[in-house]
Amino acid sequence: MQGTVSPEAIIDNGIMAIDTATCLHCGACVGACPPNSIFLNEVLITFDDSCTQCGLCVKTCPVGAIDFPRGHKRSELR
Amino acid sequence: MPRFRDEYDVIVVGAGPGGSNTARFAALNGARTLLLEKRQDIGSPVRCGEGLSKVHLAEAGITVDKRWFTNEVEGAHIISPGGYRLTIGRKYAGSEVGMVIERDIFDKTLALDAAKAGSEIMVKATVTDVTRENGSVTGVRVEHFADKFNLKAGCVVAADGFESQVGRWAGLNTMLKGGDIMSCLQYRLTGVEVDPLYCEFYLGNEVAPGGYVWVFPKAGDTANIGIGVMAKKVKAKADAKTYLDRFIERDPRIKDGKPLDWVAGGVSASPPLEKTVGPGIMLVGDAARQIDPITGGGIANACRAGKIAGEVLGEAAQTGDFSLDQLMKYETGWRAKMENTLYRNWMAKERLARLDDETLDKLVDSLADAGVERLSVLAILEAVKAKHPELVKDFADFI
Repeated sequence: MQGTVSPEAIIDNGIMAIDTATCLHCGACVGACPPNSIFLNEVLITFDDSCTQCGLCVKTCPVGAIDFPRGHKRSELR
Repeated sequence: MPRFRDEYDVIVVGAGPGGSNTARFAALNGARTLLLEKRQDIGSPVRCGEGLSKVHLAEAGITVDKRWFTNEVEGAHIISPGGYRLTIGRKYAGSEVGMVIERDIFDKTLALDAAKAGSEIMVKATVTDVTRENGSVTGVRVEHFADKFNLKAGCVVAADGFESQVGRWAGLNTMLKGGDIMSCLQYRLTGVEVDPLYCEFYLGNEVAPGGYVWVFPKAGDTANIGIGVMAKKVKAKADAKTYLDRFIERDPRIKDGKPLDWVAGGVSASPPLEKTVGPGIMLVGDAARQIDPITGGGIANACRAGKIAGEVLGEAAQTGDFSLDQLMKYETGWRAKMENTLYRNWMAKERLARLDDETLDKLVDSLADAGVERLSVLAILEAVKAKHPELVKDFADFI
């Protein structure tokens, strides 16, 4: 399981990308987000366009389910 | 099922311990109260290490109940990177050890107490915004199954946890710095051989950068084994998981344990907020960043603050006065009880997070050597001075 990301599990809206297979819906990213751009409704996480791509959610996510969007210089997605 | 009104004196968002205790004491003191919970099941999923001290429970109006209190511990071991071990006895075990509880049952019990006091409860009710008039919060926007509607309130209480958004929608600044956010993960492992009478805290930059690993024994051969790492110190995605897995792999007592659950979440370790009250809005518990920045424990403070909030709101409902002046009694009340401790412990956390492993070893060794059982500032300084006088300058300003 560790270290693999299945492409179909990634929801990438061009703002940030969520690995839905890894996300535990814990809300750590929501509380960490400085501009309050993340909304979590049970199992659905969305990023809105007030996001500044500061990356604090990427660091805060305990299981590594958040990444920068594809094409972003700090993205690890291919 | 009751029919819900469209207007209440008090609407509490979030049925964790802080929210339920607020609702309970608001209702007890005569406020028409509604407690909203976004999940369908109050208390689940658990997001907690489940360590709790009895010290502040009476103050919060909570009596210990065998339904949720299943394991009593004698004290705690604090283990430095080099293996030095400081043991703190039960009497002085700080604010967050003494009991290891069943949080899901605890939360349901507190919600039940709120209901008994006369509060209404709506589950699977997600708050998506606050409503405002003339700069004051007047209620909440709710999604409840397929329905979307507004509810009015004399005061909205944001008890929506670490991920609190209600306070921010209401214009209160609850933003955290990366150094004040702990990224946390815990497994409940069964089939482990840990001491059922002691909680354990492991420090060190190779163990948990800026935080610690905890081992809290549960009933049976089960334990909560978790980690908090400082978000600012995270080097790679999923560091919390990487460090925790490494810790478990290296500890023969627990490495073959089987997981009963995974718990993830964020915990704040911040100085107290500047404002936790605004026109028509209050923050309680983790939403108000009332967590102890050293231990990461938040249950007791949330319950204490909730009782104060509930009493202030009951009085507001009785007199029909939901003015900012009235609500500010909550702000003054909770700060009098805990602000100094929260601030001092945040300073101590900042200091500890900067120490290298060698210094952490010396610190824990000095304390263990001197037999320091009580973590008072003076006792700590004297012990450190006796064995490692060069370290005292790092902590002298705490006197």
